[in-house]
Amino acid sequence: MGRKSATRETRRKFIKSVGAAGTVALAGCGGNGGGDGGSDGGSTGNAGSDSYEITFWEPFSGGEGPIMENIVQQFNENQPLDTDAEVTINRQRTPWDNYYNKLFTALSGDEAPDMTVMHAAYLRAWSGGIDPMGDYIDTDTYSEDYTASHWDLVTVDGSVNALPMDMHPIGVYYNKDLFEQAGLDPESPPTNWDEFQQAGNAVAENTDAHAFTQSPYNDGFGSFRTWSTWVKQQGGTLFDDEWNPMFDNEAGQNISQLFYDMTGDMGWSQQTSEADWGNNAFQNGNCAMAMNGTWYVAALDSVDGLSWDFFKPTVGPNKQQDKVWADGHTLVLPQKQSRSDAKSEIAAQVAHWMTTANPAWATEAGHLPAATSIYESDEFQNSAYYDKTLSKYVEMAEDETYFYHPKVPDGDPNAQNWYNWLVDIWAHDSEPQEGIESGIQTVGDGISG
Amino acid sequence: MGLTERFTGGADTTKRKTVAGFRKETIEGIVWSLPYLAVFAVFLVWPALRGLYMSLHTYPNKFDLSQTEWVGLQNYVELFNDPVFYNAMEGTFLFVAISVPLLVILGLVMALGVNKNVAGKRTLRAIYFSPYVLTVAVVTLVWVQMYSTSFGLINYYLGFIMENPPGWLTSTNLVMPALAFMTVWWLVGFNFVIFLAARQSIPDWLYEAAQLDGAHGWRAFKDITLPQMRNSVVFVVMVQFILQFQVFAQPYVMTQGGPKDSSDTLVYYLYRSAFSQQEFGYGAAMGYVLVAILIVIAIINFKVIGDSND
Repeated sequence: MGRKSATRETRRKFIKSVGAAGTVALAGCGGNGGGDGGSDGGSTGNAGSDSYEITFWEPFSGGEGPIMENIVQQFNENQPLDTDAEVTINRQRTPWDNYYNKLFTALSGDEAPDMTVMHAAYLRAWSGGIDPMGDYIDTDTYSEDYTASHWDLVTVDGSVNALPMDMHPIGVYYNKDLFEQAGLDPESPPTNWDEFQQAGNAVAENTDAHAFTQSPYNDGFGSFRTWSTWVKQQGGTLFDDEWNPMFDNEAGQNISQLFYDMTGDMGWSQQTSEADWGNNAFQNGNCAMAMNGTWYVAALDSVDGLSWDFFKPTVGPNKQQDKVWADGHTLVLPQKQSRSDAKSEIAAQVAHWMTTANPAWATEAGHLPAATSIYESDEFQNSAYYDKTLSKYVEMAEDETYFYHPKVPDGDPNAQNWYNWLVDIWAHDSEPQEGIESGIQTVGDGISG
Repeated sequence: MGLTERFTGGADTTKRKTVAGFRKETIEGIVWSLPYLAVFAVFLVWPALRGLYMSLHTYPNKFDLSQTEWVGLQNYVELFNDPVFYNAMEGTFLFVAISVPLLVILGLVMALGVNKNVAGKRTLRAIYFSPYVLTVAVVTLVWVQMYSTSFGLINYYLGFIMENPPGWLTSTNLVMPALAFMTVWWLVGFNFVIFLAARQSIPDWLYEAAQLDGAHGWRAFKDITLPQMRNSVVFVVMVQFILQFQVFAQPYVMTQGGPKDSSDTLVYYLYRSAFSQQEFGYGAAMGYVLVAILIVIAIINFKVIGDSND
């Protein structure tokens, strides 16, 4: 590990001087008998010939899986890189459940893939295990290909640790039929707390359905997305400058109490910790509103007879500012002793192509695209989900509404058990204050190790 | 003194042959054992030693396990001051306390029942054993659906006789019994087969003799069946203690330790510490504490039920 630190600065300067095209050409030459040896570690790439096999781990399933599969297939068939080398992507799907644990194990055994998908939230905690992109591409030039907010997402302490694929913030998906049954106008969804509260109460009183789920999966991490969104809207702080959790502030207590009340006095939802409860309820037409991310559109579209729409989640109580949780998928190059520099440069180019030349990731999977060219394209703005969800997500991006999932310095920022205390509050297994104290302890221990 | 005697120093030829045979047997035994011993050394002894080493170190760069820092017993000290560890241990003990007795007693009852001349006993054997062939992933996913409060089969039928069927996986009091029950359903077939084989190896004449002495039913079970099956019982109890103390997949897949950490277990916490939190030294220390617990239980087990062949 840390093998290239001595030559990194020189390489970076050189890459800047020759520019992007030069980098690709250099990579191509490296593959053609140059580079640094014939070993490409776990892949079957041939550094001694002009062909490279880039091993690529990705965790996508559901609606996203086939889209990613198609992107890889297109790359392998069309060979879009400006190089003489033959480059193929060896895609290996690794399910979400153990994704980061497997990646960590592979990294610590120097068996990591050449390129992998990583949530932006991990880019600080994992910075010791990934090669900064600036080692292999001219980040100053490439930054122009991405929106400023996405570039910010992948930059940690001045180092560009990844190339951004997308941003996936959250919003509120609602059932139009249930809104109608409740006596609400399904074409005028809530825009503030009063309207949101009125809508929830109307559903609870006038239908047999539940009004709201904080996370369709009823999981800790999903609950945190909703909870932190409304905490930030009240002006609350999640962490201090030393990364100590600060949940026990007024805003944190208020929203925890709101979760407790939603399944209690307000009668909006069921007191349960059952996994996927909200997803089943929403997709079966038994829940009117669900807070979830951009990715939910593909799942909802596959449900026959579900008439759904979307509104911005800037409907928290006592709102001081518009803030909405967001994270993003990125592509990183995990550290790997046996990977040649030439191959790393090729892998960086592959990551650039994947993140800038594939509008399907936005138009079909429903994510906010990272590449400026896609973001501004007619294809994106005419896509199936644009009017329903993406246009609202875009508006929130342009209004700088998003805050990023905390890039903690250590531990697992997406660990369910860090935030299961929110499910305990939702299910009335914990009182709000007891839950918050438990959360501070768990997250604090998780970060400090 | 003949030539042979001169060479052997006058030792008895028969004895010499016995010694030579013993040596040959020993060498053959070692040779035959070597493949297993090699596997045992590589996959058990070496990892165990490595685990001990890890438990006495921390890793300053979590992505480079070659960089270590000696911390002595610090990981163990932290572990014994960790409330999550004690909660996980409590959960594990509860799970074991429910599942192991049920696994042993039910397995025994099923084996003795099928051993009798009941109609369809071959079919019953297959039915009893069949859950055991399923993988833990299949079993846990099926039982998540079975226990569901929204559409689970169990609560669907309970709904006919009670107004609010319980949330099996969502109640802090019921979740561990629910996981244990599911585990018993899954694994009892293994114990059943062991017990059935043991019961069928007991010669009939023992029961005939007992009958002549007027011993039937419970008396015959207590004085013939149970003592004759002692080794099987010891084996099954030991194996089940070891397996159930390592319960992992059930909380991992079905509850993620919840609700309110009430289904957390030692191995699930070990997994989170080592892989999610990337604290390998801490996880290794927890593994060694688990081994110590199992050794103590094994000793108690042998003392209580395995110490005599009377």
